[in-house]
Amino acid sequence: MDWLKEKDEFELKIRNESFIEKTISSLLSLVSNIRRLDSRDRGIYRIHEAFKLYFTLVNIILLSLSFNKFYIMLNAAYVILLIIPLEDKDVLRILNISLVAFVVSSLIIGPSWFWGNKNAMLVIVKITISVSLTMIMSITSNWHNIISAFRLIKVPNIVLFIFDSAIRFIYLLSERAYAILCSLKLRSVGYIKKPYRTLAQIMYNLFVTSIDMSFKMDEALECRCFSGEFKYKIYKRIGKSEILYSIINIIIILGFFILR
Amino acid sequence: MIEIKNLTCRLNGNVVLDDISFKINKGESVAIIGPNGSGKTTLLRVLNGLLDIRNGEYVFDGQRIDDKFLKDAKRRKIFHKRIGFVFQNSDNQLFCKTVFDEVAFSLLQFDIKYEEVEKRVFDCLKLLDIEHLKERVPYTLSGGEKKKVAIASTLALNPEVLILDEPLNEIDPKSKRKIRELLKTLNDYGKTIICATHDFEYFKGVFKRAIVISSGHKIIYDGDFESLIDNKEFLEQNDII
Ligand SMILES: Nc1ncnc2c1ncn2[C@@H]1O[C@H](COP(=O)(O)OP(=O)(O)OP(=O)(O)O)[C@@H](O)[C@H]1O
Ligand SMILES: [Mg+2]
Repeated sequence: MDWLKEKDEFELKIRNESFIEKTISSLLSLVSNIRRLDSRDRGIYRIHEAFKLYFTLVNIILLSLSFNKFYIMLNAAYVILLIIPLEDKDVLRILNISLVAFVVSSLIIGPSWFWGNKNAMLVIVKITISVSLTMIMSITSNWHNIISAFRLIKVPNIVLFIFDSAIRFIYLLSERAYAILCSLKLRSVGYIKKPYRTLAQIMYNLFVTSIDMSFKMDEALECRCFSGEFKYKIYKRIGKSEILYSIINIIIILGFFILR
Repeated sequence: MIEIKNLTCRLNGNVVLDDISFKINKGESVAIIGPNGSGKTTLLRVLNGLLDIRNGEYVFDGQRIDDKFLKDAKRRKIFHKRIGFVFQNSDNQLFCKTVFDEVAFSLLQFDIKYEEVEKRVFDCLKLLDIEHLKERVPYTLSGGEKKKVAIASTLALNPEVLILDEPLNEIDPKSKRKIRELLKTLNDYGKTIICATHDFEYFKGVFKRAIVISSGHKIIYDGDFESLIDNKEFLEQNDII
């Protein structure tokens, strides 16, 4: 094993790194998105997800029904009010998506304005506001809690459990894929002979892992006395921020009826 | 309390446990020791009733544990309540939304008053020093934190027999000491403890008995723990240190 004692002098074959780099960065963003599962304890982030889900739904429905300028402006003001206290990173993401919604809907609906459709402008603004509202809701919430908020409309617990497990699987598998890709990158020094074949091997690894994981999870459920019946509990208590949030939303909903 | 008779276990055609027999009494603390791939995890799975037993016999508290016994859901649930298992890979064990839910999970499977559940959960979290994690999502935690949550969630059901598969993996030295003390206390409370481990030097004073499985999947030692770890020659011969 003398080679181990000496320094290696190899020529490195460098090809563009883009394949691994791209795959890694997209996976990374997926994982970091799911990391948001952990709730943050500040402002709108901590408001009970059930409140956010249902008020956002009602707001979007009313918004789509209304053609009153003042009501729509009220909603726009509300969106701005919600966005201001968010973390910078989240504000950027919301603005990004809203901008896309604005541009796309302008391209589609805008031309009809020239043909005399007076409401075209309103529709574009309405779409942008709805998209922003949805984004704010999903960005400031914990996925799991959104799922359990559905419980209030009597979705069976087992369905929610399946959704929750799906999120968990996506998280664990993407974390694993990320680890494999990173080690691949480090070991191959950026050069892979057959990138797509390697990718297929990774997919195969993930597939086998996921099957194994589901068997193991079944065993764990068994060991912990799972009897086929899933009991969910919402532990979050309703506090001042929920009441404040409800009052603001009720004012906006009342606005719809007053300004009609 | 636990008795294994002439158990031979095959997985996908490979013999993983070869004709093993032993008996563990109530209140004993036993370390299962052996090189990687010797079949420790497999043995622990058998003890938890997770593998079909084709050759051999497993008797738990006077009751033969076999297909027929495990078919009845109620009996199975009671069996699992009495015997708790901390998995080697905690990812497999954690599936709830928050650490609190995770620890409460098995308790909620029984008819226990909610106040009692809450009290037990907080006690378990305190025992492992993880109260600050209670709102977190279990599978986004670090490796060592996951392990502690897994131990807490097994402890919550207050099992009579506690089975741990390499509990000290990924755990920092201070918490290792804590878990060591915890196991000792539990044993003093009269719980039976069975633990597969590579950190046996660390567990001096906790275990009274050791079972060694060789790389040939047979039991080659069953006896006093202290005199085993003092017998360096034997350990070296059998690829353990
Ligand atoms: N489902 C399976 N199919 C086929 N072989 C398996 C299966 N599960 C385990 N084995 C094999 O059984 C042997 C014992 O595995 P086991 O996991 O019990 O080892 P272990 O003693 O726990 O090792 P470690 O110290 O690494 O945890 C290994 O050689 C393993 O490859
Ligand atoms: Mg093992």
